[in-house]
Amino acid sequence: MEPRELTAANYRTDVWNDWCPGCGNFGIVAAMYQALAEMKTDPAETVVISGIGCSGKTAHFVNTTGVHTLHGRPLPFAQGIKLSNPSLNVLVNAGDGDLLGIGLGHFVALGRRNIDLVVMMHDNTVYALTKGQAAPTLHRGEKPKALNEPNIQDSVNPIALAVTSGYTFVARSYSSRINHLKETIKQAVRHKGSAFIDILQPCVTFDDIHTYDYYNKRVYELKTDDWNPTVNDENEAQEKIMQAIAKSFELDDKIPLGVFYENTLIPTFEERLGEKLPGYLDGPPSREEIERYGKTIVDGDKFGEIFSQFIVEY
Amino acid sequence: MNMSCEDCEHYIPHSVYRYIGFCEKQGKVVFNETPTDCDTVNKMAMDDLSLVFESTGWIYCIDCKAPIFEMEEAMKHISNHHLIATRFMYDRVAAEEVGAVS
Amino acid sequence: MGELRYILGGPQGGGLETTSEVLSWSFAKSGYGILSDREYFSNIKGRHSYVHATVSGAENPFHLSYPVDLVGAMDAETVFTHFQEIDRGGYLIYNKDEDNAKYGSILSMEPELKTRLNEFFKANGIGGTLGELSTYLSERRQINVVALSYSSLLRALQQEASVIAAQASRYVSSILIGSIASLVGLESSSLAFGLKKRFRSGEILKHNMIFSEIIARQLQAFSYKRPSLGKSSLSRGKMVVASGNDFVAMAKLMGGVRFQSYYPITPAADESFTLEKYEKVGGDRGSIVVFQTEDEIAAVTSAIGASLTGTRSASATSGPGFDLMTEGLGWAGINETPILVTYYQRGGPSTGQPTRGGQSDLLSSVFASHGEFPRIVLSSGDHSEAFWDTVDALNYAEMFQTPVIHLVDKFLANSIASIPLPDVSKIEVRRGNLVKNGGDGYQRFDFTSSISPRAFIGDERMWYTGDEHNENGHIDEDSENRIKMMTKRMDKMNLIEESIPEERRHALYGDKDPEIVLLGWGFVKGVAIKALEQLRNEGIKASYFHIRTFVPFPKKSVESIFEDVGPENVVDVECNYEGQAGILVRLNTGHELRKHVVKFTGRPIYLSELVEAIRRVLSGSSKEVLNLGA
Repeated sequence: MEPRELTAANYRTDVWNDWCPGCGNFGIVAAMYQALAEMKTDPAETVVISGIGCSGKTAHFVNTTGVHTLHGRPLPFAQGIKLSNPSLNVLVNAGDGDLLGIGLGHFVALGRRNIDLVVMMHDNTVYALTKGQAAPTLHRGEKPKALNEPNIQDSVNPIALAVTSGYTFVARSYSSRINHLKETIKQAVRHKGSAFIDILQPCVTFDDIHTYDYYNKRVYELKTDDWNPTVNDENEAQEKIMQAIAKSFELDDKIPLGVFYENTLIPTFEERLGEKLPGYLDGPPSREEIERYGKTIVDGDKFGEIFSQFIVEY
Repeated sequence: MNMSCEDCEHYIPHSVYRYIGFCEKQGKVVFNETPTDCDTVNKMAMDDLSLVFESTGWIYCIDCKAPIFEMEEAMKHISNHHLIATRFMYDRVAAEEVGAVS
Repeated sequence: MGELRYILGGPQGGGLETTSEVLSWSFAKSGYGILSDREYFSNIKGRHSYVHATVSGAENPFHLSYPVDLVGAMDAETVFTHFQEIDRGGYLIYNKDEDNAKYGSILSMEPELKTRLNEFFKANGIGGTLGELSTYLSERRQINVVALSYSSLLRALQQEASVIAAQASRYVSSILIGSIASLVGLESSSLAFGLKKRFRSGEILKHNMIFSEIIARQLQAFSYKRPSLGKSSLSRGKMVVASGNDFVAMAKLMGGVRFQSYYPITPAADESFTLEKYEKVGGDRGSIVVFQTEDEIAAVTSAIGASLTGTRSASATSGPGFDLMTEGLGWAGINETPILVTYYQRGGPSTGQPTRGGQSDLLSSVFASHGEFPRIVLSSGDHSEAFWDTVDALNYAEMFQTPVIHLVDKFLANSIASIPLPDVSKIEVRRGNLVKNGGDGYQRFDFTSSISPRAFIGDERMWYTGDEHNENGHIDEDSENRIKMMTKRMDKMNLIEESIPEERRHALYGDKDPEIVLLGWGFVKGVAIKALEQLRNEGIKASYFHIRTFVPFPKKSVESIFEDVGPENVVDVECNYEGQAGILVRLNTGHELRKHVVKFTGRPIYLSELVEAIRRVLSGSSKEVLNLGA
């Protein structure tokens, strides 16, 4: 499809958006509409993949291809899509429960691979669509209104986990700082490799702790003059990882927003595949011809040649 | 012409019922009221509205039950006398009575 | 003799695999058909494993039987485990260096087997050593015992060539290879071919050639009458000699699979390994991505993702992994996404018997995943069927845009068989209802066609969701939409019923006018067909009804079998406890199977025990539980 000049409004579908009035997700889709328009993204070559819950509906609200998958599984769906057609622009939108609860194994595995896609985590600390139970991002001792008692499980630190899992672009943003979020999304899309954005987002119905006020008072943007998250030399990687982890534990009075870690020196999984499979990047699985006039493209002689190991002539 | 509470910057609408709201100034619930004895009525300025789009990126139309993502679109809702808002009064009913829905 | 049956046993990881492969290649090169099954524990090193083979000059065999003509033992445990399985006049090759070994002190043996041996040894007045057993076998069971000193043989080899330390146990396998080749009189050029296939070139190949000559000289000392296979009557030509896993991998490549995802599990993983060996087959114009995921959930969902982009994709797993895949399967069902899961059955439930076989996952594959969606379930009876069923499965998945489950049992997966070279020009690749350039109005789940117009992600904009959806793929809970969409999807079952003919769903073998019909599926096929021959020789007219597809079910053919011979004369033969195919027969036809021959020990059904069980059934037994095999 020929890229057309599209406005942010063109990236909205006409599907009625049924998130709660005031939902933190509005800021996330708003930033996506703007980012996609500014990057002149082709809707047919862009895939928004989501999991289950409120964030799962994101795939239906964005006017690109959308794949609304299973709880916890948006990452493996996304990887199958991306690896079979690496020219696609893949953005995963999933909840903290999806990524760090039921799907945590997939979250770590993606980091190890550094596949070139963007993971946007809707971090609202609760399982909203099932009545506000504690999500893996809710700290121990906190008691949002849906909980009878304070949470007795510790929270996962998404930034530290992403950095140590191998994500090569790790950032935090906030759904109510639209410009910051939009610019972070654009950076993540441009980054070659697995990019993770932890997006703070109030749940206005079930979480009376992490409200707009709560975040507005606490968030601040990391400034480039005293913060450099980028690995410029492989020897720096460990130091930058430690720096990102330390920064990620600053959560109480001040919550930093921005890029925590960025490393463009690690090859993507697609590059690793391309290195061992010479035809991969030019002829990825989805683009390869497998049929001619209804028949296999491999004839008998070729079959004998390919599988000579198994063939005996008597 | 008397202004209604909806036009006041201290008015926080209810997210579901158009005729319910909360007055921050007085600290009480108001119901579709057009006060005559209140001198704090203060209509939201257009400048503030554009700031909203630059900072949070959306505003919500209670009449349409839909988020609005562009200034131009917001203006249409305003000219049709729709009630738009970025925040809503605290109401625990949904949290208490909505079952698990996923 | 016409047929040679042998068992080769040894400690797991001790080179047994090499022995089996080299002999299979060598026999095939001399024109014999071969089936070589591998039985092993869930263990890396040290537990007893064995190969059980049938070599035939008259056919490509698909049956195994007891007693065997020869047992080749790499260690004492093999002799203790298998000596009762040797036919009178048969052969035992073993290491006489271990004559003082006692079964009581072999820790790797299961205690139950020791108890059984204890009873046997006591009843026959034999002491517990290997040497005493050897004497007993030779004197009282008329078994030709080939007692070799393995250490002397190895020393002799070391004098003529140097032994490669890291491959030391390979040379032990060479003793069995050399002994059997020499005993049976295998042409030396065929043995050389087998060795070359396995070792390609280099020192190890050279040593093996030398070693086989040393062993042949040593065997001249034994004056026994040699077993003779006779000349092969099989027609000359090219044969494929490979395991079931390998046949499926070859078919996937030929059928256009370009993305296979998997998580390591027995007995499925070998298929993905084989496919991975050919990942570069497209050269600089294409590639096969074999993706090792973090679990089977990721395996199935990434394969589904790949399918959305237009890639023929598949996964391979067995029971525990399939359980994890079931939610993903339902997503593929509601989203009309083609996907092939090759389901290698092992013994369940739970971890069950991870390295043993079974057919107990039939109901699981037919009913897996919640809700209702169309599916196709195929099952293969031998290596050739496994190849062609894979080709069909890939086509069905795309033609009907729905999940296809291909059942293969471990017996088939892990056994090496010879079959004539398949005519690959017959491989069809049918991609179903594809659209390009659908434009802005494109609707992935368009109501106007029974099979939805399928565009690939990357070519059009579209939506998918695991929720019930409208034509656009957006969530829709309206009742009328639900009825239309559900009906459209489920109607594909009718289309499947119409499109896959009755003769594709089953096969019938044996007597045209039988008095008794064996009904089975999967790897039961080979042994059942062979059993018909024996029954015929005993004057019993029997046939075998082989089920090849469970969804759609060969309903009409099964019904006519019941009408022709009567329900009393249909015998269910399966490797599971419940008679699962029988349950599906009843579900689909209302006919109840009243006679059952079942086996659930994890070992395949052997010819001798099946024939014996049928005899019992004919004299009134309604249920036979088989238990042969170590």
